[in-house]
Amino acid sequence: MAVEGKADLPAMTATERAIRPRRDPLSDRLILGLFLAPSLVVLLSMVAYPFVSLIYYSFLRFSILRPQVPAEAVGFENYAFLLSDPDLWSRFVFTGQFVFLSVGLQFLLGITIAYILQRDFRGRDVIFTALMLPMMLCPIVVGFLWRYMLNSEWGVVNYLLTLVGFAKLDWLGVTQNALWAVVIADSWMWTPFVILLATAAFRGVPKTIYEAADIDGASAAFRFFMVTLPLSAPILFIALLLRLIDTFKQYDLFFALTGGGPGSSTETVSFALGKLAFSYFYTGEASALAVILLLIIIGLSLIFVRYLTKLGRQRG
Amino acid sequence: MARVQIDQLTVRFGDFTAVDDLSLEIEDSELVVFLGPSGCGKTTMLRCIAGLQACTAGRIWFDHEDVTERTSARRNVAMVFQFVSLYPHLRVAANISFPLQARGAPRAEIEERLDWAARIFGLQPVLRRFPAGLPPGVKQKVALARAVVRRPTVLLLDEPLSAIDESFREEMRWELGHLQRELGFTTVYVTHDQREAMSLADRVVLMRDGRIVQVGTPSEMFEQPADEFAAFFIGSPSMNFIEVKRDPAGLRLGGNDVLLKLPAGARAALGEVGPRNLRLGIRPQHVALISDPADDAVGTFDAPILDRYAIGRERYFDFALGNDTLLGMQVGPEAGERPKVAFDLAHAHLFDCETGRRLPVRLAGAS
Repeated sequence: MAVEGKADLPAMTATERAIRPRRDPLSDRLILGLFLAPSLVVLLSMVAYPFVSLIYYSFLRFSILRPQVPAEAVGFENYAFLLSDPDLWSRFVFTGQFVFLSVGLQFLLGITIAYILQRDFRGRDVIFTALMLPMMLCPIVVGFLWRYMLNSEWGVVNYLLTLVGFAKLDWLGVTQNALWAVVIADSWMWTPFVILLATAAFRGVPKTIYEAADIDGASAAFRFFMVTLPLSAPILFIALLLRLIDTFKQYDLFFALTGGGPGSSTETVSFALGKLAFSYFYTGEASALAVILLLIIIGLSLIFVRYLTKLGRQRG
Repeated sequence: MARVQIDQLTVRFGDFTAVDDLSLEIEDSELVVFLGPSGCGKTTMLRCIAGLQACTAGRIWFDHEDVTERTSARRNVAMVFQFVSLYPHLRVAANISFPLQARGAPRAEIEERLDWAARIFGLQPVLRRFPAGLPPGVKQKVALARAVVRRPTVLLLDEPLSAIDESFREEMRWELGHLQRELGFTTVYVTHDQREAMSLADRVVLMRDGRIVQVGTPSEMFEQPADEFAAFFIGSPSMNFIEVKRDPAGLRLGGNDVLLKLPAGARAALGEVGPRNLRLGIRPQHVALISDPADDAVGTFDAPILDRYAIGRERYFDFALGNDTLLGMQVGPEAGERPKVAFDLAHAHLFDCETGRRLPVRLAGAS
């Protein structure tokens, strides 16, 4: 035996001993775990637990108002009840109308305004900043603001309408008008978001691509529809996804503006969910409805993510 | 295809003058190369012709039409950019036909032209692909196809080969020159690479600080440089420059140590130049080593040989003159012991030290 004594030490140089991993009382893995633990605890208790319990409740007949009544497992009964309720289906139809009109209007206006703001003119940055303001307000404040402005007797909107010779409109008392009232308020608040992202997208198109299009004889319209828009598509699609999800969940504006009325004609699905959960306290059914909404949103996101991945792969 | 006339063009960016009172005529079907170091105004010049850059003063004519105020879209020019600027969201076929689509050309014509352009550049196999996955050389071919598909009045190329690998560049350069002659587009080509310019151009326009230094065919540029800058910029390896003083027998080089004997005719011509400081310029190709020349042979002298080496098949040697190290290139057979340095006086130039201009003195004598 050339080496005697301790098996590993004599064979090592001083440098090797210095850089040799030492056995600390706290291993790296343990330190890692300790650092992660606080946020993990928060995440688990705030996200994972509610999520799991939501799914659990959705299979129970249960109300949190009467915890003494034992919960009864009913399988898919809550889901069956909800999906066979024609009233809920009309909530979905109404929500669809609202999402379509609202997001459509926001994108039409947002992209147009972003396009106009591409040009360099005096005061552009001031206008841009001013345009961003509505987005920064609290939704419930925006709701009440528009409720006063749209008041049929003394609201400023009707006042302006009478000035240009139109009759006063009953904005919030007629279903169709109320739908438009919320669409207008929602668009007023969230068009800035589309302007912001569209501007970012437009500015991301390399200048040489525009120059190439100019050289290739493209008119302004051809250039916009064939070059600018398609190249901005990835960012615009993310904006679209965010707006769809957000509008789909819209609650505050309806609460402040129409309260779901007249009758229950301007109740969206999330409004109905709110009532189900916190007015009637049908916890089981409300949980089932929440799961349905979640599935819709996840499905929507999946479509978009797939599409973005495909775009990314094409364009390298 | 058209004649391009540039008339007293000036472009200023604030205090900086990028192009300074430049005039030039480019003939129909001619390939003109703008050559110069970076920042000399050659790309600005090209962008003016393209209509991407407004000019401060001057006019640009295509044939007999003044296009100075026209937008790029209305000039029917085509341009290939230094950095590939294909439309990343369109397939190769749609990229090539984009200029035709933009003009609203009929479908049958688009198909026909696309087919033609794709065939020229051998792009049929990649027509259905997106540009992102293609190698740089192929991308630039797509850009070229997109440029010629509209049959432009003028074809503008801004360092189109600089993004391409060295090995492929040579081939692309050859192909480009061949195509230009075949298709006959009036072409303006911008580059900082003198080899590219010398091998492609019908005429080279050498620029410096926004001005034209010299316009000429590649061989004119090589044989008769207008000044020291042109002499230095064109040719590889670069020309040797040597301070000289006059002597009854010829010129004294390297701080008076060495006498370069000149023939009688050249000595007479030197006498007429007047009292100026002179600099001699000679390319390494025209400096050789020879064994045992006659004692009175003109153009030869003794100089210490510092080094001999070969790069590929070319044999070079370094020799000393005073404090300078100069380069020669052995073309003939290897010289033996104690060789002399021999200048090929027919290709030696004299420059005025103050102005840098080349003086019309024939050092080989007989005129």
